[in-house]
Amino acid sequence: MVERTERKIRILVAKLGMDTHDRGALLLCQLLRDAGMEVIYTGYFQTPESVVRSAVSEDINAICLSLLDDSYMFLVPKLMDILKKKGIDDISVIAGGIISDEYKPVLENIGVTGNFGPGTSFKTIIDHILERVKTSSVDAQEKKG
Amino acid sequence: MESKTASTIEKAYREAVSDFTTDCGIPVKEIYTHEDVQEINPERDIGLAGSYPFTRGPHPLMYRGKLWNIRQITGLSTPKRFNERLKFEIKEGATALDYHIDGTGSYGLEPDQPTAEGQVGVCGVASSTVDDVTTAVDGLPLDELSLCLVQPFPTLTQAYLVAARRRGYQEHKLRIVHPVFSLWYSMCHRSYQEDLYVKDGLSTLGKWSYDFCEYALKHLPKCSFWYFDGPSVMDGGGNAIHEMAFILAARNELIREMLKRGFDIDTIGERLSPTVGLGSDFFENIAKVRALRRLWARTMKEQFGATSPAAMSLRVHVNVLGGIMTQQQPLVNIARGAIGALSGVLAGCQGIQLACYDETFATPTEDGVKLAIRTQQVIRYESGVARVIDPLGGSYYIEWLTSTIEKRVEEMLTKIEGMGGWMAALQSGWVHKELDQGTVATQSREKDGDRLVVGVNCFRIPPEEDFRPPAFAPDDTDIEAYIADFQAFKSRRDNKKVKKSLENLSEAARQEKVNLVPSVFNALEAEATFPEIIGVMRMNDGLQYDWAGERDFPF
Repeated sequence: MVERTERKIRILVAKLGMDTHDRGALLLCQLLRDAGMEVIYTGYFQTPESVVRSAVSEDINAICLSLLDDSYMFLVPKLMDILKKKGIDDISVIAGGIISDEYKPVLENIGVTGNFGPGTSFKTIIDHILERVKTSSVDAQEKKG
Repeated sequence: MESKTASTIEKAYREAVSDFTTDCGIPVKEIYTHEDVQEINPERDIGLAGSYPFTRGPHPLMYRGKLWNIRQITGLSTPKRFNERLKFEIKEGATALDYHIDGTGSYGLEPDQPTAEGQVGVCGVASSTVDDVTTAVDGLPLDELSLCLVQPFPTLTQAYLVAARRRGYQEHKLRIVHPVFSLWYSMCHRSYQEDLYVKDGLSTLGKWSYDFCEYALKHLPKCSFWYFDGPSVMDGGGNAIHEMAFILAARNELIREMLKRGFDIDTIGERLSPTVGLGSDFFENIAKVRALRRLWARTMKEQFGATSPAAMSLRVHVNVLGGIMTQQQPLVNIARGAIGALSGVLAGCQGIQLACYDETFATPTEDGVKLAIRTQQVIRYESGVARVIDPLGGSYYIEWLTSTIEKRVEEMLTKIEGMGGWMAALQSGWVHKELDQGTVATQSREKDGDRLVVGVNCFRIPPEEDFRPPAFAPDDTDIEAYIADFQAFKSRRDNKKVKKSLENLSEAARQEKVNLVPSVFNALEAEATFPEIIGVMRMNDGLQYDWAGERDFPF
């Protein structure tokens, strides 16, 4: 069986809820592809359930959430909850967009990292994704024994 | 160090301008002279404001007759809280108002359904009934103010008219700006294709949009049609040429539809008013608006045979873009706002909405919107720029740039018409491709330092030292109370009356030639909710009643 880190990293870029401002998400898709990753964009109106479903069925390494309006404070914890209940611990969840400072620690606390605001360099984002995917793969290895 | 600027004082002292292209890609020389404007005929091409081709402005007196509207984008929380914000804006000097419905309202969702959870009163004000609108405009003199309603469907505008009538106002006296979203919403909200276009034609929701225009042309003499949002092009990745060309192409589409419905070009033309986005390029902003006015006048006259000045002259409302604002060192956004607003005034716009300095974080706070209003007031009362009409008219650079933009816009417009017109271009995917390419191109230029953004790719400071403005957030208890009110409203209505009114609406929708506006008024008066009305229209096309698929038609 091929080790995860030896094949292309697979990213799911998702927009939860009703917000449809996705210029950043579309740009991210392009840039991640340019960086050699395989990218699937869910489009809008995803629910926490649909994102997890897609991530599992597409064998995703990391979910990148594009956030804008306050609804993420309700929807993102829901998503992390579903992952937890399903015992999925090898999919990283990374976020970016317009995220309030007050809420970033809450997101970090439930395992959503990055939380990149506008103007973040893509190198920073890509390095972070690579680091999370690598760590996750190492953890998975250790679990296998 | 990532800063592009000189690391020594000597180098900084000697620094010179290093970019020679406008934001939309026009290369510019170091100086312009009379030789560059030889082809421009002052009488034919420039003239006076209020005279064909209206390059200098739509009205002879311009700001000496009426200053631009200070109309900020507004929408937050519940109708009650929104009403407080509107009154605050007026108190601080806003001269016109805006009513932006929230996300759930944009999709016709009920505030208590699962998909709406966490999204009520977010990115706009929650509104589902005439009662909500009544609350939202409570205590305001409706016959004195100009109100722009903002919802993808005519429900909000129609509900406002019902609310106004109930307060004793005559609708033909009301000054409103009605949003015709069917022409452009799916440009920036790509999901809207399904709601507005079915089987290669307009959906019932789309047709209703045109039906309302027809109603307004007949009965609401003071209703302007905000038929296209230029800022969505600019913020969506497009440039000034795209924006101006799309404004004209979409206009042509609307004109053709209303001509088909039996109106004449002069009647239609005088109502049309797009919004224009003001980016960072100061002179480009000014020149593109002037170019747009001239092209508008020429095409209205030559292509459509317009004869009335009101139809040939273009009124624009401008939006100093949120897209040029930064989260880094956000107080600097105040400077950006001032420069952008100034370009709008020098362009001779009829209204300004200015992205607030804290808008990169959340819906603006009272302080944020007050500052935006104050910025415009400084321009109005301290700078003196409003004293003289089109003060840059005759400038070699401005006239050259106006003409150059005009030529490029004309080329793109011809291309779009060649594709079959605006709707065809939009549905073919070409428009989205252009926007996406623009997004990537802009990002590359910023990454490479070819496009400098102060605080982002130059003159950065560590985030921990940066100023963080207090952010706005709606109160959860307000939202909970609103949802409870909505549920109480539904249960105390005369449901028989609501059911009958929705049946009438369904029947009207089934008839291709029947204007839907009266049936919608009837339904609103019978206390049908916005989601119910929208849902009935959706079902007429075989779509599910509820966009989110959670609720069935209740009757």
